[in-house]
Amino acid sequence: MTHEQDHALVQQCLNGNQKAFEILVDRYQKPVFNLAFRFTTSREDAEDIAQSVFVKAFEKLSTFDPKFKFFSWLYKIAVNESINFLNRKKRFDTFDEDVHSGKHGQEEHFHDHEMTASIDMALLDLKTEYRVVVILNHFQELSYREIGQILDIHENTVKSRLFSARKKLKGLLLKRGISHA
Amino acid sequence: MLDKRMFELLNQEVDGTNSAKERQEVKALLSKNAEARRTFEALKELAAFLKATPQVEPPSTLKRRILASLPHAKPSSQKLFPLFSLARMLTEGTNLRYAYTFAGGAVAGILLFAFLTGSPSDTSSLVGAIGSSTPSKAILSAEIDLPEIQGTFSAVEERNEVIATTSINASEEIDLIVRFDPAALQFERFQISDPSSGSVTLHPGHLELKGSGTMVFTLVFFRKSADAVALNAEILIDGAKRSDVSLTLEQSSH
Repeated sequence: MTHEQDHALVQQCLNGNQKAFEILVDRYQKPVFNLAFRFTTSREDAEDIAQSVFVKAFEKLSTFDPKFKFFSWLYKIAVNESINFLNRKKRFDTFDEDVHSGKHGQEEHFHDHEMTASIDMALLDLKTEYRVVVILNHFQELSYREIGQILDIHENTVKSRLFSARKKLKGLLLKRGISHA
Repeated sequence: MLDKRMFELLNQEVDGTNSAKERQEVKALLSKNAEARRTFEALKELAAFLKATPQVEPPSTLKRRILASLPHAKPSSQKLFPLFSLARMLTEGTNLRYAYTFAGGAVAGILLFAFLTGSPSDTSSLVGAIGSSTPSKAILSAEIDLPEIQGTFSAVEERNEVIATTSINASEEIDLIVRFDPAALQFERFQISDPSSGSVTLHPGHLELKGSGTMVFTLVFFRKSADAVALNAEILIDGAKRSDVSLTLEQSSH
């Protein structure tokens, strides 16, 4: 599916065709879910975030500017929702230790691959500004320019953050016993 | 020690974004600088680790859940279904998963009216489905009749949503614990008739409702499983259990 097709679907949605939005959900639910998962390492949280992202996108569809790619616009919402979620979670984790410990217990079952778990945990240790560029570049395979558009920052800033993030991530993985990295 | 530009070039080489001239620079650097070689290898390995990290499959229910959450109007419309608007207002202000202690909302609508005017059950324990010819629309209801607490706990299924309502008049402060299986039901949103009368806190697998006086709580769940699902409501006063009712929704035909 091309970006032109995405734009056509957006137009159909704006004309009241909800089925067109369903096609967009089909196409982007997996990358959006994955993006949220890399932020949170929790399937449940990622599900909540993905739902919220698509609802927001649907509500704000009339503000979408077709000179941009639809997925860049959608990822922008997804990044904002994920960051907002993490900020809220920080506040609530202070008060709700039961929920915090219970959730981590569930996730232990999910990670059956040690390497994946180490990467996820190392990502969690990165500052949000670093984590987001790693997720968008390495997991969503976006270019510096696309990341810059999503985060509203200059391409050079993207590069600077990404390269610093890799350096830090390398150190964090070494600490976790991931050799050679 | 690698300078900033060298480090940048090595990163860009890994990303495949260097120009031909920059690639030549990197080649020359790698041939004469051991630290550059180590850094380059480490960057390539890191990129390979990240690339090898598997994508996570979203749950099969995610699409349905998203579509069920959309307002029933054109995207440009600002008019939202009232329950949905309230839920959005709450989720934007606080964390849906971890806690709600809030004020807001309106009295439950047609569903509440339907069960309040329906034939009440006469026990405080299990009550089965009413109207077996239309099981997916059946309203389940259990009556709570104690000296200090009177009311009902009811549930109905609409499409893939399970809507549970507790209507209670309590002369004392009570705790109402609504338990559910998170594998079968995903809590989505709630309404409270009078914000000053009570509060709701969400925990894994149960909701804790607190309050006194006349309270109507409406809880909306997304049904994740086609199997029969149970909702249980316990009422406690000063930590002591005073009532325990359960409702079981039949297997879904959806």
